[in-house]
Amino acid sequence: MVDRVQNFYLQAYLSYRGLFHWLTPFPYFSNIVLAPFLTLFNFILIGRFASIGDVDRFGIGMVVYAIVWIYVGGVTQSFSNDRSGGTLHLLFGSPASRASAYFARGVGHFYNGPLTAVSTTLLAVLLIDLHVGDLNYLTYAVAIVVVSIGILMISLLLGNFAALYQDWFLFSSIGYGGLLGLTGLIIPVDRLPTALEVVANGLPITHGLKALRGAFAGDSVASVAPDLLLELAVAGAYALVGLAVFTLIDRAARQRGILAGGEE
Amino acid sequence: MGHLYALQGAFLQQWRITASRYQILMIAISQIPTAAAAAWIARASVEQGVSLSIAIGAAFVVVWNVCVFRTGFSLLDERWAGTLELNLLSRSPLTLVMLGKSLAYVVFFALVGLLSFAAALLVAREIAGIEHATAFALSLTLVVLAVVALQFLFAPLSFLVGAQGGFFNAIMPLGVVLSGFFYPISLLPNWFEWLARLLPTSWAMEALIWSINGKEDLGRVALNWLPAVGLLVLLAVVEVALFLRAERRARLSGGLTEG
Repeated sequence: MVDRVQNFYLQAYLSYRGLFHWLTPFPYFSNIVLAPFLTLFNFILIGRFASIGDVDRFGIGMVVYAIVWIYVGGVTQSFSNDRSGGTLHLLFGSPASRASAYFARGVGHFYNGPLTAVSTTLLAVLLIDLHVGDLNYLTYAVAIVVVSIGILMISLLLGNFAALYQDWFLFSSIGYGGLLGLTGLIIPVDRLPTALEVVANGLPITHGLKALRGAFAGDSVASVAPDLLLELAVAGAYALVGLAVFTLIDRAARQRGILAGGEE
Repeated sequence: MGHLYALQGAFLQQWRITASRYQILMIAISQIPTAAAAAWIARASVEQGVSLSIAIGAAFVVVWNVCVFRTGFSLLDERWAGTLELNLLSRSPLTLVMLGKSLAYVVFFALVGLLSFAAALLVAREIAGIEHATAFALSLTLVVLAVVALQFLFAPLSFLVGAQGGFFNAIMPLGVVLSGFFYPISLLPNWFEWLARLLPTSWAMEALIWSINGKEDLGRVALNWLPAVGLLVLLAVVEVALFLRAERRARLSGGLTEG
């Protein structure tokens, strides 16, 4: 058991350090601190230009988008780099647990989500007066962690396709655009066309964001628990689907000898 | 005349590589939701011209975000691909050759930007009139030139600093905020506004927004053109100097290819 845990964390560490190309100082600081805050700042200013009263609503949405930015970009590039770097076939050729290998590729990135959310929130409070007077810190922390889990699971799912097509730009674009437009970060879900509203309720963030907005309004963990549990359920579904896709790709790679990396 | 051929050749070569349905799809997927979100915010506004300003800004955001990234890595890509030495053999200045490539990016992604423009107008459900049409046309031209000039700066700059993956991820939103694509930069806090005033895009966009909503008279709008043009000229001089420096470094270090 101890060996398995050690192996899991070793995989997580090595895949994170070796495949995540934003880990050098300036790119890391840009993606964790600068870019998310500037994106939040941009939407706050759009709200002020339009003379919207409650611009904080957009700020809270962009705190979550900060997590989307670092997870979707980080995880999809890691999967794609695994293939283009010629190491993916080594994974498929190994007897390692597929579930362990799959989720290990996300664990290394996990701390970046809460880190960027907290830094974005802090900068928003300090520099543009995001209102936190009623903030329930415990609910905020729990909501951030739960939302991070959901976003990480969909990022892992997208990572499968990034490796399959060796194109993380396209699948990160799908993640960025889809999660920005459909999960209530800016446009409320109930204002979307009915078909898109159905899709939105099946995406991560949609339910967890309600809990996070509740945290800023001072709600307790108990009062936002239904949204948190729904968010975890959605995350669980994406975890299972993502693992199933990963396993299918693994089988196809063994049977057809594809995904050897770089030469196709 | 030969230099014009070089410019044209570089433009056509880059256009053939770039112009594809895949590129349209990829950029549209990531950029249209941003335009739609901004336009949704604008929809709730009672102020005149907000929706149209944001729709136009959304198109420029596409051009800026995509082109600063593509152009920014263009000179580095030449080195990675092993074609930089061929460019240096050309009698035409490296600046001109890379400008041709950069213009191909700008023109193609401006067409893609029209999708963001259309999406924003669709979501905003409002097309306001333009108060000062002539000033609008001139300001729009200035914004285009300013965006071309500003994103082109990053071709030699990223070559000289050795940009790596993720380098542009803060530069893109920083450019959007400081250029005022979605709002007049007078909305920025004082400590940030002075930085924005160093960019030609901010002056030109502010003039564009005023020409749409009529909040300033023609004279005030025209006053913004002078610093925009001046900063454009200054940018051009800096870019030529940086390209000369990059070329000198490549020749002296022998670093014309990777590996």
